[in-house]
Amino acid sequence: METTGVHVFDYLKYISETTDQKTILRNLMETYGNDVWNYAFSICRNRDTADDITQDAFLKVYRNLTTFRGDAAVKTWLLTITRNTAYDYLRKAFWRKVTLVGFIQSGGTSQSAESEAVEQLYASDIWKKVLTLSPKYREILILHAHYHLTTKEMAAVLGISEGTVKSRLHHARLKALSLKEREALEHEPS
Amino acid sequence: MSTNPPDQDDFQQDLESGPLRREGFTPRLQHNIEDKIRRSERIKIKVKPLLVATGFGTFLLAAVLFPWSSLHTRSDAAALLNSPVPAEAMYSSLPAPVPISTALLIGLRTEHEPAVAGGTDGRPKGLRYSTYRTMLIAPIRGQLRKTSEGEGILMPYKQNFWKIDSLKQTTKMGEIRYLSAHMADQPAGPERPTTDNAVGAGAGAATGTDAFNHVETLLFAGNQYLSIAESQNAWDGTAARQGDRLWVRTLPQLKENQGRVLPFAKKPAAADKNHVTLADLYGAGLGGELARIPRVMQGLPGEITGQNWAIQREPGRWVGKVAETLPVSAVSPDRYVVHDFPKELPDKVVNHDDLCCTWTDIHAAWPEATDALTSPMNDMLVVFEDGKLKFYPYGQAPGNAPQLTIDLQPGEQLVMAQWATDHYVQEWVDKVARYLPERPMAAGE
Repeated sequence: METTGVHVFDYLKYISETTDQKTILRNLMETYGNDVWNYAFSICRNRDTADDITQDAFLKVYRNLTTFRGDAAVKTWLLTITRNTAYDYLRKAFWRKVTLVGFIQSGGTSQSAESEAVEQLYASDIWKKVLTLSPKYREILILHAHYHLTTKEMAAVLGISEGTVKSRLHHARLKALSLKEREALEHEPS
Repeated sequence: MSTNPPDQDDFQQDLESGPLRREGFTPRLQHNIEDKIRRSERIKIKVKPLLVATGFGTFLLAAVLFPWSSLHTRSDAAALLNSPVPAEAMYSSLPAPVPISTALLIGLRTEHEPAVAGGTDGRPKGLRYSTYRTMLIAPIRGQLRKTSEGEGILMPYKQNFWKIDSLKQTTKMGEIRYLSAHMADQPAGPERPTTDNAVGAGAGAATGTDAFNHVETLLFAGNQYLSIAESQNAWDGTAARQGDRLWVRTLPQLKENQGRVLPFAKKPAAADKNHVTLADLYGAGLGGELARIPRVMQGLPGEITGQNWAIQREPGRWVGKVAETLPVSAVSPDRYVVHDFPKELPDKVVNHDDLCCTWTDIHAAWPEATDALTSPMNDMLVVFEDGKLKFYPYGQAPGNAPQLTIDLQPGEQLVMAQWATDHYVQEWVDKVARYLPERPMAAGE
């Protein structure tokens, strides 16, 4: 639970250069490693990329441990770093491909193999459906339903106003509900 | 049929676990991260003093040993940079490209010179007018195709599609090109704008002998919103008058407005209530924001009320433009200048309007690009370049052939970009094919 996390990591506000930062990072990874990885995966939908993003995100966390001043909850802080790292990574990957490896045709074997493998590994059909929503909607739905963030926290992570959070979440829920409804219809015996 | 709709709170339970059955953050990944930190710190510790000690010596040595005579030749490093790099080597370090699973319904507008010049013999001057076309681009068996194309704008609205046509009506008073909206599976209604001089009680100088040309131009269509520019040239027997108005209307408002009174002189802009104001979208507290917009002519009582505004395309995004209405003159009863509206357009108006990257990035890769779109799933990039629409899968090179190219007509501009994902793609392919006339696919499309 986040309250536990806040309590446990409250000392983050007071750490200095001399504190054992490797131990703190280890504690953070043990507590939030899956949260960070799951969020990275929700954005990029690729396990290898999620590994890379998680690694980069925790390296950034390590380098910036002394800058955390507790204005936000630790989880919100980590998710914000993860999100920025993920979008940075995707943007760079996109431009690396555009400028360097454009001669590679899309839709290769590795892609379909990866997709099929991941299809088999989804925890549930609803996760599979939610991950087909556009990034904007799936992110907000996951932050709300999986991470239980408040409107204010979601606004901080996504860099949007609380009003926009509410309206976007409303639309995301409607879209997910229609997917869920459709799934129910598909599984109903005719 | 399912008995009950799913409970919204179900998502909290449904998504309580992680997205995958197995945990993604493994002890191995944690070990890798810790290892990377250890290694980078070791390098930092070793490198710092070494750099200081050897820096000066290296500089001297380099100065002595440098082959000054070969300065004019290309270095090995330069040659290496220019040599082709094995694709597999780079590919293995990058995430695999995402196959396109999104469909794009795109609406375009082409402007034409006036059909009749006018301006002589007591006839009002002609006006530039626009024609429209809509295309659906969708993946068919893994390949991007133009599946349908037709005249007018076909836009999704709630669970249906609506058709917006630019219709022409020629009367003894002049030529009228007006926008008409109807559900796509129903014929256009009989309502048309009223031009009878007996109708309406205008504040202007209508004399009963007015002749006028009128053109309505669609600038944007999305969700339920339409941005419309109206222009009118009138001649009352003694003098010419010119007027321009800007509106944002919803589809139902445009339909309700079908029987509108057209000569501006018969219906002042203030009497038009069938439109969306900026306050409707942003709330009444917007007054301060509008007041801060610098007026074009200081000292003149120009007004920015937020009643008249537009949604326009700029490279890579939709933007709001708000009209400052200028003092009424006999020659131009309706005049405005537009200003940039300083707030982002809300999601409910523009829905998905996010580029994968900045316009500077797009421009660096496609220097001739005039506009670009990316799909909500980030799997498709559309570049407007060299009078063509070029469709690239996410991550394909600008130098490479796009997966699909469609010729644009000279000066053709974007009016609508609506995206379908998931099962809506096939639904749109089927429905749009019904509502737009069939067209055989050309080779290479």
